[in-house]
Parts: sequence; C-alpha cells; structure tokens
Amino acid sequence: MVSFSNMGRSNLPLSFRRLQISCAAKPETVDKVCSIVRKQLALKDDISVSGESKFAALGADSLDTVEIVMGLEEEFGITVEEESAQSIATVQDAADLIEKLVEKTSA
Amino acid sequence: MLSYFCKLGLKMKIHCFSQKMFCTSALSPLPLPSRMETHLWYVLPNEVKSQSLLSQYVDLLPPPEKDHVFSMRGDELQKSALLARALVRTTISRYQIYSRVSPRSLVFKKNAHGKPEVIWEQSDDWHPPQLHFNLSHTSSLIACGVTVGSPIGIDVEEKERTLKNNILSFAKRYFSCEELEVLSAISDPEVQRHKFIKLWTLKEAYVKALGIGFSGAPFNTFTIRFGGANPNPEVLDSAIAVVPLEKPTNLTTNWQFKQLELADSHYAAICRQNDGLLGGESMKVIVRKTIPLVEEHCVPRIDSIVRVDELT
Repeated sequence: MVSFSNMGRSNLPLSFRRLQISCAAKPETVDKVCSIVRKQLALKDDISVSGESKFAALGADSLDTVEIVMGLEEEFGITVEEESAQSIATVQDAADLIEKLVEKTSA
Repeated sequence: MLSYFCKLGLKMKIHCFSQKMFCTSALSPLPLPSRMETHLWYVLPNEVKSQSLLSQYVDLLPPPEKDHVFSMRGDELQKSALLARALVRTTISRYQIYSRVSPRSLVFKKNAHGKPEVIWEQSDDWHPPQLHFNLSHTSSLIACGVTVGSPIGIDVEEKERTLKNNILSFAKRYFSCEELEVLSAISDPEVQRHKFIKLWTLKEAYVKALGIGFSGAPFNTFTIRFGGANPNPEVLDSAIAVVPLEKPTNLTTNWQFKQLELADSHYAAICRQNDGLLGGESMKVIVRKTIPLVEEHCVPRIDSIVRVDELT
C-alpha cells in the first residue's frame, strides 16, 4: 500500500517517480540555480532571482549563459547538450532540465 | 538638451580612410552599403545621458518592444535594451531606402532560431532592399552591423572581460580540439584571455550570421582558424577561416571574417558571406560611432596597409 503523505520519493513505485519528473523541479534545485546565476552575473543584492527570472532580463549575454550552463553541469554532474541551450530561458527551465538529466544519469 | 538641437544644424567634416565625408543633420539619408562593404555602427551608453533623449527613444518603439525594455531588471539593463532598439531602428532608417521608412515604422520579426529581421512593406512599385543587419551588445557598447546582399553576424565583447570558469576548462568543454590547442600554447594568461575573447566573438559572429545560433551550431562542431602563409600580427583578421568538423555538416564555409577593436575597449567580430567579389582582399568595413537621432561620425581605422599620409 502506498502512502501519499510520504514525501520521500524512494518509497514510491517507479510509475509514481516518473509522474514527479514532469512536475516542477525541487525548490533546492531552483535555489542552487539561482545562486549560480547570481554569482555569474554578479547581481546586486537588491535584484531578486526566482524560478520565473529570465536570464536575458537579468542581463545574461550568450557567454554568461554558457558559463552558467557549465557551472550547472559541474554542480549537478550532468551534461547539457548545446542544442538544449535555446530551450532554457528562465531559472525554472534550467532547474527542470537539470532534474530531468539527473534522473537520466541515475537511472 | 539645447546643445543636442544645435548639433543637428551643424555640418560636420569627417575623414574616413582617405575619403572626405560631409555629414549634415543626423537624419539625412545615407547610401546603402555597396555589396562589398560592411557598415558597423556603435553607441556607448555612457555617452547618452539626457532623459529627454531616452524618452524620444522610447517613443520610437511599438508596445511589445517597450514591454521588453521595461522587463529588464534594473535601470542600466533597461537603458541598454532601449539603446539597442533605438540603434537598430534609427540606423536602418538612415539609408536611402524608401521615403516612408522611419525609425517608428519599421517592423521586425524573428526567424525560427530567434534572429531578428526586417519585414519590409510590400508594394507593386517597389522592391525591398536586400538589407541585412545584426546587433550585439555589452553593458558598455552596443553595435549594429549592416550589409546588402549577404547575411551578417556580429559579436562584441569587452576586452577586459574575465571568465568565471577556467579558460582551458571552458575551451575543452565547448571549443574544438584545435582551438583548445591554440589557447593551451599561450603561456601568458592575459594574452590567452584576449585570444579566447577573440575566438569567442568570431564563433558567435559565425553562428549569428548563419542565423542558427549556438544551439544550431555547437561550438565544438567547427574550428575558427587563423591562417595564411605569413600571418601579419598587426592585422587582426589575416586569413580567418571557418572549418566544419563533422561530415556531413549543415555548416557552410563561404564566409568572410573581420576582427577589429572598437573604442579601445572592445573586440568586435563580423562575419558575412564571401561571394568572391572581393577576391583575396580583406573585408571593407566602415565604422561609425553614433548617438541615435543626434550625431554620428566615421571612425577612421588603421589597417596595417594604410600609411599615415593616406589619412589626410
């Protein structure tokens, strides 16, 4: 019997884990992305960064974006194909992609 | 603010290479670049301080572009985004294209990969020019390249820009093996960093010229090679070529590159098609520094071949 109040993913059957992959990324992942972005762009403290933040609106140019992706690859132990770069417009996009790739790596 | 209106009435004598050019008001039409020329316009945000001028720029924009400008986080980024739109609209309007083209009337769209293009008015008695443009900006300089008859890609980068990552680690991950070797062979870290930035701008200019961007042409699928039998160190762009690394490839090679310095502070790279008209000659680029709607002047460039007395 599966307990839905159990927040730990490891106790859930594989089919439930797959369902969770299509939901938004964990807050911790989003936070890590935010901090990597803040560092790369040297953002002042009064600029808030959240899942909805667009890289371009924060002032990231193409070199910044690639540096951010490289930082994410190192932080999460993943490889982000260059072809995916165009699909990452917001912090949330990056976090979602990271979790998808982390799942793939650990599967 | 009054000084800006005074400048509009002045005639300015300008030296450009060995040509004399007269520039009247900022809004007088300019001939389109010939098929053998590339025009490069740039503006320095630090030189645009007047709030009323910035308001005039906002007035040039349709609502979606205004929204985009004001969605940028912070005054400096908003100003930079605004100047980029003002630069491209006023620059394209400067050419003798069609009496009804004005900075406000231009309509833009993006291609499938996000590259902006002009949508020209269609009419029975007028053929739109084959004008191509491309924009690039840093926080301290915004540039717009213009050609006729050839797609163009440009990229600008601050010379003093540093990477957060290690340069060779970055190059190992994203550049080609040959480019990594070139960078690894440079022992002085500053020289290595400058070479990295030049390579980056050339690669960006290429994928922007192709119109497919970084995602469409990953940087490790082609090499930018600085070659020629006897490369002259004073000529930044001696025989730069692009070499695709995969077979088959969607990457074409009939492209010409130019690397130059702007305002002593930036490296710029230009990439345009090489249709054989220029023979072996290097790309002819006319650089103009501008404050949109206000003033412009040609920036004479010292190519290694031009002697000092040719400039007067």
